[in-house]
Amino acid sequence: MDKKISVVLIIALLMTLALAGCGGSPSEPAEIETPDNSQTPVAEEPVSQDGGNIVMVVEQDIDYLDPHLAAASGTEEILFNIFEGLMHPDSTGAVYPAVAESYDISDDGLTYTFTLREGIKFHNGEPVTIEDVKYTMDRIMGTETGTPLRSELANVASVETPDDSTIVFTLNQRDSAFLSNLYYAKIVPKTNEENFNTFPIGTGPFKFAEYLPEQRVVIEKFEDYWQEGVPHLDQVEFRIIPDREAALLSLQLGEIDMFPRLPIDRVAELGEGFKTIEGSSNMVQLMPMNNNVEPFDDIRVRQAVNYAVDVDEIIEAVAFGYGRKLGSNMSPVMAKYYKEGLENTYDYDPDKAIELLTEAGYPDGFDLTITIPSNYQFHVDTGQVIFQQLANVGIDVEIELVEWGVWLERVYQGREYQATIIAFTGKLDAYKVLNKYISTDRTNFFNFENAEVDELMAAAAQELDDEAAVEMYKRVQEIITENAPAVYIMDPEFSIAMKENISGYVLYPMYAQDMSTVYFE
Amino acid sequence: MLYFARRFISLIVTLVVVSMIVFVLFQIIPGDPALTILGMDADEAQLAALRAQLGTDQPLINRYADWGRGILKGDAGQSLRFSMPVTSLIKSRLPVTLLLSIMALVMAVAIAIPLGVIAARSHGKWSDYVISIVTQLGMAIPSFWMGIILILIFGVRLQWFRAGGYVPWSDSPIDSIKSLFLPAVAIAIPVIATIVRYLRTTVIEQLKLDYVRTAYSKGLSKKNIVYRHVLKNSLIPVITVMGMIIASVLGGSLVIEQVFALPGIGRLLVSSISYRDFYLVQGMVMYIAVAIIMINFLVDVIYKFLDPRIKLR
Amino acid sequence: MTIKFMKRNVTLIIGAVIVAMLVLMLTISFFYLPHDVNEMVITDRFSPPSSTYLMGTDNFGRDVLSRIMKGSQTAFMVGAVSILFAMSIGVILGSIAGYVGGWLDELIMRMVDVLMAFPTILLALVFIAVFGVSTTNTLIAIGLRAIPTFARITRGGFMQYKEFEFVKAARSLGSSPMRIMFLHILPNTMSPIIIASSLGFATAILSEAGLSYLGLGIQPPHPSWGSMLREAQSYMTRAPWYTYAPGIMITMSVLGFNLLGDGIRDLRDPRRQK
Repeated sequence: MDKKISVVLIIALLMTLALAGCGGSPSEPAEIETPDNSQTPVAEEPVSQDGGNIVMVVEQDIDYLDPHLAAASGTEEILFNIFEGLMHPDSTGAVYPAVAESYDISDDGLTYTFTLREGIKFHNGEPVTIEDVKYTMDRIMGTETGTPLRSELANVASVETPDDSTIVFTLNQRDSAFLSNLYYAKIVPKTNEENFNTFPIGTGPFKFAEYLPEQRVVIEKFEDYWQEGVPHLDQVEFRIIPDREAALLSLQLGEIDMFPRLPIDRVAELGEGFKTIEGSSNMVQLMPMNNNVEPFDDIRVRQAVNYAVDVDEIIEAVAFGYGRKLGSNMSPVMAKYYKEGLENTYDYDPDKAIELLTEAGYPDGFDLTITIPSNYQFHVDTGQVIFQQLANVGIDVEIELVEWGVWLERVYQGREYQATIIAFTGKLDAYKVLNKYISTDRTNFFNFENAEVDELMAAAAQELDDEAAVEMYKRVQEIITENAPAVYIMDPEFSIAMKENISGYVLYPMYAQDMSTVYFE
Repeated sequence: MLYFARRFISLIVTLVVVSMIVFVLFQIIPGDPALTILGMDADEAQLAALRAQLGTDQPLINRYADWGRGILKGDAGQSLRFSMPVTSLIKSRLPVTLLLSIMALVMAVAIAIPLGVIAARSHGKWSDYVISIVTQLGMAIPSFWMGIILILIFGVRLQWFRAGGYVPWSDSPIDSIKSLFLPAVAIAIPVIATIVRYLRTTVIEQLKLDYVRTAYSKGLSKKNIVYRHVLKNSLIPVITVMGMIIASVLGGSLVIEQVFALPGIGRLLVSSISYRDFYLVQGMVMYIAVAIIMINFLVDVIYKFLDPRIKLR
Repeated sequence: MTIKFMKRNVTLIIGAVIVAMLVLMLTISFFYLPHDVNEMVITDRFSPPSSTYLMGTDNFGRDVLSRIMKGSQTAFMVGAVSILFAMSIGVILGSIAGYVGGWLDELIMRMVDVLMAFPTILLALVFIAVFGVSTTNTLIAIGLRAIPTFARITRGGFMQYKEFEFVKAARSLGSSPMRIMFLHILPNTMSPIIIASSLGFATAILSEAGLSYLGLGIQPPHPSWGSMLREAQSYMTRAPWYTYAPGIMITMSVLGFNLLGDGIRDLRDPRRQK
């Protein structure tokens, strides 16, 4: 009797280990099968156009539910569904009146008059009053406390409410970004003051339902939404799964319905039952070089590094070829502002790089530390490729991984670094994309200094003629490329994978997951 | 009674010392919570507002003092990162960690104890050698690799279990257990190997003792002797090992949580450290210290139960 | 070597064979690698094992075998340096505690207890948060955690030997405490220290792999088995062989040094065998 048990137990244990070591010897490829792609996910119950629940995976936890405190792009894309400002962005990145019904700009460009949308309600059923709008603006500008919560409204001199449906902003100076900045002034009810960060209330197509830190954010359909016909879905769960592999497996197993920012090379693994929408992410991945620090205080060295780095190879190696090559700090997604042709300024040319290095007094290269935030595998991978490419021109690279918080404090804020690799997420407005090159800007961690850029940016900010502003922004991009404060790498392309029966998803040029138009076929 | 008093005092002393260590570490550690929370897209106004709201513009010593006063009243404070009470955050993670520990423990006991006894009884025979080698292997395989392999086989190929992620108990108890099955196996395997080794050695030693011979001479069956008497006396070192292991699992098995993408205590601890979330780190460390001390206490009680001669000191 | 000896020391022999094979691989890696460890042949990425790439290639088209071999240098370096570090500090602390005794003993041993209560990963996490990620810091974090074992073993040996006749004799002849401690007593406690080193070596390799797996260990692109596993996990459905090679290497190293340590112990203390 116990002999039998012993045999059974031993066999069980052996089997576990045998399975664990399956294909154990690396020279036995026969045991390795290609992943089975033929499985179809569990069929959805038939649903009509309206209704249904969707689970979308997001890789990052949100920072704040309070829309005025929130800053991370990963939060922005979720809160997009819950809140609206007087103006709200559409899928082209332009803004349209949302909580406002209409607006009027004075000829001098200093006075903006908004009319409140009639009948618009908050998620708790209360009507949006002009007091709520005023309260929101005061809260952001810190009218009472003296400390503003955000700086988007810093240019506002005064806010008046002459009647129950009108609000008037007077600006200190003309501001081409003012309308799009109003998106960040998300309208909140004064009555909810106590619960801004625990149970937020807005006017968006979905209302907040639940938040479990590092697990999920759930939003539900808002029946009284002011736009007719949307949203279609009853509920959307944003499930927080930081690990891409786990998320991908959950998608394959049908536990997740939508997967934004799936690397395109992984699409083939999905198998049947899924469809994808591909698009650029409006990100700018780059390797900033500290312009104040030796040897990067010499423009020739920065240019040499630009020549030595083969961007095409990086795109191939890290993004499997799915990325738009960049030459300056603007993604082609921002079509209106994008200056074409810059991406070929520094075509891969190691000889030229060595020549420039020799001219600058570094014929044998130099030692370089690239500081990379450890939580971004994409940048770490990019660093590994650059390590190899720079070795070819004699630059001896050491990769230093740091925690995200340390990176922010030391590199981004403290500017104590030689070179780093990072990506900027997309913004609605070209000014917000390029302002980091203004010599006095807080986020100019390149230590970039160019008088012409400073002038152009100051002029563009006040320029109400759109075309003239666009020209200025394009010129800024050119100057940046010439001065090479960084190696501009790519705007990675991603795909949004979803179950086959999901329709209506619209891609935005910024971090936004607009779930209002999504429906089940 | 004296025993309980001693235990309680040592608990308090440990907690005070540990909280002081955390305080000192936070004095030298670089990183700004407000900046880390808001990231690159924050503007100056947001940062300043947040620092004021979080109180991180105050000296750390003041915040430590506030925290200490709060703790005395039973209030562990608010997490900076998650703007929630520290206690409810830890509570929300406990189900994962507790369920995982219980499952791993059950697996370990159910497999390791019979296997250890078999190894000892077949001492010197082929099955003993096989078990010895297999247990050596079980201890040598890194748990994260074991996790990856388990995912590859049971999650990806066979699709018997979830490959990662956690289904809350409240959603579906069965799915919840299923989602934790593979991680529990990955934790249990080295534990099983360790227990089998200990158990084998002690059972072999026990079998040589006089009382076993006496029992034989009384005509008791071998099975009876092993399972009724020898096993009970051999469990003490096993309980010690298990106590150590459970304590470490309760403190968050970081690597396993990473492999299987589980929202457990380990991940919360990592978040709390990387966000420089002073109150949350303090809370987590307090929790871990209490968990370890409680386990040690339980181990003592079980000793007493197994061998009434042992005095609790 | 008789059959009887072999049969009684299976553990020792298996352990020694595994370790010898690893050392062989390590030695070869200094003189010959099939490919440059960092050379990326993007067009050959995710190649399954073949005659060109015996263990296949990774996501950058780097040769896995070369990286495994180079990785053995990392593993042995981490094992050797951290254990030497831990041994020197542990032995000194243990000797003082054991020989001097009294409050100094109490103080040292309580410190050692505190160190022992920390899981390696947590210790390393805190250490790295404070001092940053670097190979040196990884070595120190792993080494720190290994100190208690050496301190305890040495202390035990000193407590035992300091009452022996030969020590008393040396003392009465006027030998300095240093001389007694390090010339008379220490050699006698060497064998448990050697055993602990072998076992500690295995633990150090495992810890390094774990830390590198979490991205807290050896910095890329330098190959380490742990960081290879971390990368491999991202591509496990596309390139499963990449998952096996580093895992097997870690397992074999840990197994080898564990068996070797156990084997030596059995040899020194034949009672455990019977």
